Amino acid sequence: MGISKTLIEKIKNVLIVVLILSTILLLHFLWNDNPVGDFSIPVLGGERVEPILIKTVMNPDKITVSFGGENYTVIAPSAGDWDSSAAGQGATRGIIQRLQEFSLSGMIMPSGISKSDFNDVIRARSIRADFPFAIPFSEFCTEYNLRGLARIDLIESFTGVAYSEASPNSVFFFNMQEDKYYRLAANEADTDFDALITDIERRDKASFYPLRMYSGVENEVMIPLDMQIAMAQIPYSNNADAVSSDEDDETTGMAKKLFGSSFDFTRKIIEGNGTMVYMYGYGEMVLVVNRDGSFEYSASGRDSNGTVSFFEALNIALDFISRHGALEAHGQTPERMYLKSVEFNPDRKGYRFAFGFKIDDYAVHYLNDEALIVETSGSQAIYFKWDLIEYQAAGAYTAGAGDEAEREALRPFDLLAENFVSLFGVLREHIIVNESENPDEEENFNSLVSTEVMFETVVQGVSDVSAGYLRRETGNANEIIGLSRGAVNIHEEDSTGQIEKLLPVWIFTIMGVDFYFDLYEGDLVGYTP
Amino acid sequence: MRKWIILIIAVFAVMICSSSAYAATDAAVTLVSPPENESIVANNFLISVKVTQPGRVLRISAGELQQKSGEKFVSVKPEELEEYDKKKDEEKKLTAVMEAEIFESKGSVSFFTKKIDGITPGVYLIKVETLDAADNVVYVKEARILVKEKTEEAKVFDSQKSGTSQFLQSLLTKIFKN
Repeated sequence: MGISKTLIEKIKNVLIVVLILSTILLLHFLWNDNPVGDFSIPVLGGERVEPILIKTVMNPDKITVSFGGENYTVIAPSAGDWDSSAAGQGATRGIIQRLQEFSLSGMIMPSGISKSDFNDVIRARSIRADFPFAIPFSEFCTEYNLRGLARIDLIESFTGVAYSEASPNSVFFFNMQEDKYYRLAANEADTDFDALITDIERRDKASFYPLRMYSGVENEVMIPLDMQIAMAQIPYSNNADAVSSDEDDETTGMAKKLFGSSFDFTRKIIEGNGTMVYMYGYGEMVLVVNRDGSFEYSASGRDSNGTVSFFEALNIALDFISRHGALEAHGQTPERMYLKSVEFNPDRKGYRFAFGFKIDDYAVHYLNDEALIVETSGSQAIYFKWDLIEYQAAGAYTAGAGDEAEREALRPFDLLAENFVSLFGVLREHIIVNESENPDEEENFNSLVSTEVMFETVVQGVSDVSAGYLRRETGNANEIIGLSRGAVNIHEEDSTGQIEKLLPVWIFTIMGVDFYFDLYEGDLVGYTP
Repeated sequence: MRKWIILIIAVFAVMICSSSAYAATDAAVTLVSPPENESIVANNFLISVKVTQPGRVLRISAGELQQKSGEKFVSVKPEELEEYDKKKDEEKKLTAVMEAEIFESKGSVSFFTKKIDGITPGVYLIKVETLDAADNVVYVKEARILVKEKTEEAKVFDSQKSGTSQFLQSLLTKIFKN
């Protein structure tokens, strides 16, 4: 007796379903260029991962506003100052929204301008936003829908954008790393940047002045005369002992997320110093759990034929971070995270993104490394390092909370004037160490003897001054763990031998060296060359 | 007679030297900011005094020049300064905008900095006096600061160039660049 027609139809239906699913699966691999090893079936009813958006983490370092007459202020961009779509409905239009309006102004003429002209426009009533890294211009225009600007090929990359009433139909892009300045002029523009300047003018803000007005030495870096700040020493922990334990569930969970279905085939190696290593195959995927509580994951990248764009690579990095739960495991949120630096690696055809974290508007600085690093190659994340800490929610340390009312921080310019000799000494030491790279600077340093010239050299070298928190040490203060790159921790440890408090500091960046001064006591507590 | 003439000349010479010494400025003291005899437009300004010798004691003060107009004293406009200088003392007044402060320099390079708020258009005088151990004035440095009314922001770029000529310039650049 043959197979019944009904049964045959059922078998055909099953085969069709299997074929359709296989087709979708193959398309997934081919379209996204994903390795088979990365694929895992999502757990039904499992935790939904919220993606981390670019507009959450990529914001200007600072916004500088000139009210004219050498009156300035510098603000950490609040939600909406840069991109009001990140602030939600009802927020005042930010700089991005006004750039979008400007880009629709008809004929826009780009031109290069001199630094002198740029400084003149900035001294007038103006607003400027600065990033700590360079952004490819055309990709930026595409990403932020600046349609009228995307075809401009004069500007390769930029680190900031500005508007000035000294040239009301223009916007300015500039690259401080390459000392290049550009003006985009429209015949008619109705962008109303002044409304944003007026809004900031009405806020409670500190007065800033360029360094040249304090010192008489040419330098346009803005520093506050004085500031009332509510910052306290904040206890923190990174659960180093727990995460580096052989039996920590969270560490195991993290490893499972990173290795996916390959986790069952990984080897776990515990080194003599307590470092744990998870390894798949012959090193195709490796996870190192260090004794100090930091993690490092690396995967051998496939040869990539094409480079993905800056924003595509950033999305890949953010997606990787959100999928593997590093933030949640340490009580951190994407809203506290910010993109700190970007480097392009031409060999890998990818980018290295370093991220930091903030408490209120103040960045947490590490003396020895970065909080979170992701490297991409093509469309793949190939390296992921994180060294995250847990601390009290930001609101506990704002003005008036607990014992920490606002008090006056030491004046940053006074700190510079009182310590310039020792700062010069540190700079001289590191310039001499690098003499093969900087022979002209070494000769200049060796010939300097007068204190006045020392002062001018230090002041001219200042590229940034800000307030923040410093994480001075990882693990036990008596060990040298993590003091890579020649970082120096000057502060004495407390009686228990542990330093586990974030210290409020002034950070001076001078000739690429970050110097950290206690915000309220004025001691030099460390520097990172 | 000759002796009397020599004596009178000597007395005058001493008087002139003394007044010169009083009016002499301290070479170790520089008024960095605000810029002297330059016009600014602001509602506040930063005073920054640089001292390049330790142990110097300074008395710093600032005030607004005012002149009599009817029964009251009013601000002096920068363009009226020349006329103001010719007036008699009873028609002139210096109204303090900052109480005198004493500053002692500590290192080889020290700075006194202070922000003065509430500035209106007019002429301001900043005085920096160097004092000796007995609080006598040894040197004086004075600077006049001209604060003007706010006018429309001066344009940095010629607006006509934002149109056709810029387009042609850009086109020519592209042609010859290629």
